[in-house]
Amino acid sequence: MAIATMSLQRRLQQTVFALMLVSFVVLSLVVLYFLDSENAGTEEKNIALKHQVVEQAFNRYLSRAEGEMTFIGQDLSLNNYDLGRELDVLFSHHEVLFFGGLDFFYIEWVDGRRSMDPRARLFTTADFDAVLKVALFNRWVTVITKDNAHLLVLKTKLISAEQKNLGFLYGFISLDDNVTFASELLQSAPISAVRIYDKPSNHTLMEERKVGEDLTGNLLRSSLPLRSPVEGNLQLEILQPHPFSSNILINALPLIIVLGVILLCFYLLLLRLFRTLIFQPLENIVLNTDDGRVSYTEIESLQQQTSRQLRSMKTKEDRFMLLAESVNSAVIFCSEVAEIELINAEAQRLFPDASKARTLFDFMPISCHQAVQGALKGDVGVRFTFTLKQLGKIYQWQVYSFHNDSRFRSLLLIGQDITQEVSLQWQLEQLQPLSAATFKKADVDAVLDELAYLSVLPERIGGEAIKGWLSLILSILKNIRDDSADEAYLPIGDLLREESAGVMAVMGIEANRVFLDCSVATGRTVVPVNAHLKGLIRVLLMIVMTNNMVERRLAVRFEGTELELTATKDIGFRRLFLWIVDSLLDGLSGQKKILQNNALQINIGWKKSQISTVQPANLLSLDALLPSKEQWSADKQKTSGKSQLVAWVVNDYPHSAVVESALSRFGLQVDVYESSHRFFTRPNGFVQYDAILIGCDQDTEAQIETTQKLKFKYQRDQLPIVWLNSTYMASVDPDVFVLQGCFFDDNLHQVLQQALLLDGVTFMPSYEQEGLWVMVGGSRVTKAIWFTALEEEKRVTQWLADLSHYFMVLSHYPDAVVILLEPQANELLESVQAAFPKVRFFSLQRWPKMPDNVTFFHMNLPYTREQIIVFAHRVTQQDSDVRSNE
Amino acid sequence: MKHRYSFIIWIVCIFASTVTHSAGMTLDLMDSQTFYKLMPRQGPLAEQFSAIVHAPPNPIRITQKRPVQVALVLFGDVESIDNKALLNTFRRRMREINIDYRLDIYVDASPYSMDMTPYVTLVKAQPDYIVMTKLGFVQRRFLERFLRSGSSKVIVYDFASPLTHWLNHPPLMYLGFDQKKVTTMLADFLHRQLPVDARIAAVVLPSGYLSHTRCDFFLDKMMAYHRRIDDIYMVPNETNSAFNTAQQILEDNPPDFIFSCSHAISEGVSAALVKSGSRVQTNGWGVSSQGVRSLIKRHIAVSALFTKDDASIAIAEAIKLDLEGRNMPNLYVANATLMPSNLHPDVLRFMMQHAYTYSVSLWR
Repeated sequence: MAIATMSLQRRLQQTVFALMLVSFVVLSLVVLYFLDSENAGTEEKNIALKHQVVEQAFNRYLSRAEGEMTFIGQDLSLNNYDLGRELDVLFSHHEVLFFGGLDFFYIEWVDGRRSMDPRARLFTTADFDAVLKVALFNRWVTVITKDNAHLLVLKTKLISAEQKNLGFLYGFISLDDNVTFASELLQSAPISAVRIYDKPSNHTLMEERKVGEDLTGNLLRSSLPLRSPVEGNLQLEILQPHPFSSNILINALPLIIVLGVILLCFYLLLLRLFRTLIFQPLENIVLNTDDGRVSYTEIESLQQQTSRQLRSMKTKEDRFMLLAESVNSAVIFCSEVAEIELINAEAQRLFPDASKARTLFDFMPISCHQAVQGALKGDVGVRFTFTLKQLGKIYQWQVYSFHNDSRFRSLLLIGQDITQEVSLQWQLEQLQPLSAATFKKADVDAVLDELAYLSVLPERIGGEAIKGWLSLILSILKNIRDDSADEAYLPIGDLLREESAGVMAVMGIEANRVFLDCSVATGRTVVPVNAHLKGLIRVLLMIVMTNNMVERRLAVRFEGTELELTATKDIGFRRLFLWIVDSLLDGLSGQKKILQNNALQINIGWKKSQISTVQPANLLSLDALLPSKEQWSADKQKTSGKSQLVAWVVNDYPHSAVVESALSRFGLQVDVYESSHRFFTRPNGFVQYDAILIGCDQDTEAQIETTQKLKFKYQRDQLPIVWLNSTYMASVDPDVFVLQGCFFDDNLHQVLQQALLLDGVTFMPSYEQEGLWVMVGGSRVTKAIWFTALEEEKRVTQWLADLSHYFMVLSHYPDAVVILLEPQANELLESVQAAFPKVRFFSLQRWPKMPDNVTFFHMNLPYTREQIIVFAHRVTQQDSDVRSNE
Repeated sequence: MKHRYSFIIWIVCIFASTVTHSAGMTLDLMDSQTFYKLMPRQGPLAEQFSAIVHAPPNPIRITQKRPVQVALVLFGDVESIDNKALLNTFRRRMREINIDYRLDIYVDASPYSMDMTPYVTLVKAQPDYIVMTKLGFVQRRFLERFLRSGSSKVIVYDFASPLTHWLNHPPLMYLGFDQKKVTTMLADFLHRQLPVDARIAAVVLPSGYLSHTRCDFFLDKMMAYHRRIDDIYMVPNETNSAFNTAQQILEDNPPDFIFSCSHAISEGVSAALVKSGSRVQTNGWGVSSQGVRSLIKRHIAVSALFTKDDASIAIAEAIKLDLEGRNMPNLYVANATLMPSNLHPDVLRFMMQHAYTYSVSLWR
């Protein structure tokens, strides 16, 4: 309900004004009344005067009539008219009578004759005898005839020149419809109506009023006896309207104006006095809130009450301020136009500029302006958060809108310092994985992510791989859970071998899928191995093996006592593995780091006492314990004058260069054979292989066959044969050394070390009298025919596709016989001849510009054994001839 | 001796009353200018009414429930040309404006209105309209009862000087001619026509309305033109008296011009002039029964020409306007002009025809 505000001053003004107005009206009326009374007195005097005037007019009219009678009487007296002709004579002067007062006359002669004015018939038909009787001499008498004619009659004597009475003349004035008479009375004085009546009988004799004048209103009336020559008690009544004369108003106007001005001045004076004496002190009290400055008896109680209320309000305000200050929140009250009404200390601390700002928007960050504006428009539940960088605080603000005392929507902003909460929240968020690791619970999402990743790998993953993946994951998880302190000291190379072999076996992944960079020195470092480290190695191998990168590499090296494992990983974020890694590292007190090239680097540190290096007892020429390759090489040069020779039969083993380079690093001489066949068809000559490495990828038969052949050739099972298989071999020959797991330096070194313990394989040249025959080119069939034939002839042959690598062969056999099954370039032949002068060339085909040093031997195609034997003999013959000549 | 003495008294009385009433007449009667000045509304109404009178007849706009009764009081000989012209013109106009009416004619043929019979009859008849063609002392007092009661409406004919005492109860209309204006025109005309040293005698009426408006006014005007008239003869308004007086004048000391103050006097003087064969001329008021011929004889130097037909038409139009309830003036002054005898007879006839549009045929 709206509360109507009332102004006491205005009310007083209005009341006083009304009072003054009423006073003014009353006084004006009094003035008018007095003036009117005075005027009425004047009017009464005036009408009395008018009465006299009318009376005079009446008498004048009668006098005129009397004059006419005198005239008529004299005329009748002096003129001796003929009998009965008097009236004619009199009427001949009618112009004189035109405006006469006498209406008619009557003559009563002495002799009894009577002459009546014919006009009498126009006024009455009554018998005149009765009328004449009442007539008096020289006195007008009122007569009312039987036919109700009102007449005034005057009787005069007709006296002849001789003073003899001739008769009587009666003059009549008819008062009925006597317009002229009445008009003369009315016009004599400006009156509205006139009435002549007989007072005793109140019988009206004559009455006339002005046409068109309203006589119903206030009238001034004068009814006085008519002083006239009329016999009887006649009364003359005159009337004139007495309206409220505008003259009175005009006369009173100056007085009323003066009165009004005086009252107005009085009113203004009163107002001023009221203001000065009452309202101004009241306003001063309102403005000067200091208690007890001025006190008025009338409002003392009010002042006391106000004072009490003020104190109460002050107390409440203090309490409120205390509350606002004590809530540990920034509190800002602002008005409907966002002006600050109250701001507590904390808020002031947050916004030091608030005191200078006009509105909230001047110091609040722009980001929250929209929210504040929304709250000002009535939005509820508005809250926002912002960071005060200069204070390093985060405040969450809640905005409440409320209606202030002006009924406008205002705002209360409460800002709470949530820095600690946010910080704690962040920490908790960070701590969540740790917590999961602590409880050793795999993150389901991580597992799902991993599965999802596997499902989108471009390479097809077989069921075996998945099965293996699952079993590996399970085993790793088991390792994670394994908190036992069981530790075994193992060289890291052995661990790598075991784990890589395990992974390969379970997942069916080829060994070369991963490039393990683990030097012999590293591999021989003994570290305390527990389940976590095993799991770590395993999971790293899984990471590397199952990733989709071009280079899959796991580098293992030591930085002092700290093992550094660097594994290439997917660009994709494999949370499961990272979780596993984190979980495992937790037990190893290791650190994980993602490198810029997307590699995962893990550092595990041990105490120095925990690390040692293995020194194998039966170390041969190879010294894997040497800390560095250079040193190792130098020592090797010192300890053995001649390096050991190993044969590396590649077969379909991929990455033979890696093996070759590894062997080279070991300081071994390596004879590389592309295949077992090439190994066996090697040129004749003495050679001892300390170990034979046979590679195999898919063609396991060739590997087995070679092994069997060698066993058969040397008639013993313990041969220094090392199998390098890229795939996991379920069953292997127990007599050979198999490189388990992935290929890496230490692994190979370990295997070789074992192999080299056995006796080497010595190749003795079967046909020493005969030189080496180097067969160049030729189709497979040709070669087969030739090979069979020369085998029968016991010829030692070396089969080359071309002469590009002639130096390797011919350096061992400078007097070899080169049989060209296909034409060769002349320049090449000449350069070979120049390098090895003892080499002799035989060609079975002719080609243009064949060099001279090539001996052409015609042989019909197809080649036959006989032809070849003939050719062999001939060459032998020639060769012997040549040699004999020398 | 006795007669002489009485005569002296009579003359004294007459003159005494004349002086009294002549002065009073100025108060009691108003001329048209005074009236229009006193009542400013009347001037425009009179002009409108004049236009109606001169316009072709326009039939009445209302439907009458009954025939309107009109009482016409005539004086003297009913068969006189004036009365016949009045009746003729009035009836014709009433017919033209299509008013259903009954005309009752009351004739006061007595010489001084001694016979009250027509008046008494008239009172009994209670007509709607009373047209009084002469206003004398009998008629004045007689009409007052109608004016006050309003039972019959009064039209005063040939009397264009409203009575002061009747202002409170005025008649429906005063109809007549501005006698002073005509007299002024006549005085101007004679002053121009007569030689400077011409002797003028005046035969005037005793004191009364016409004496005041014509005779006295003429004498005043001529005095203003420095033409002193000493030979003034007062006669009753009778042809015979005028004839005798004129003969006496011609015999005693014939003047150059004899001023006749009324139509009757003019007739008597004219007859005396004709009889004596003198070259003395007089003036005329209105057209005599002889019409233009009286002018041609040259005894009458100039005659006033009153458009009496207009006044007669005005009676009919006043009744029509009153029936229609329209505003109308209380005073209508018809035109009057001078008709000098030296004009060509055809011109004179044309003027006659113009003045008597309805009744010109009577004036032959």
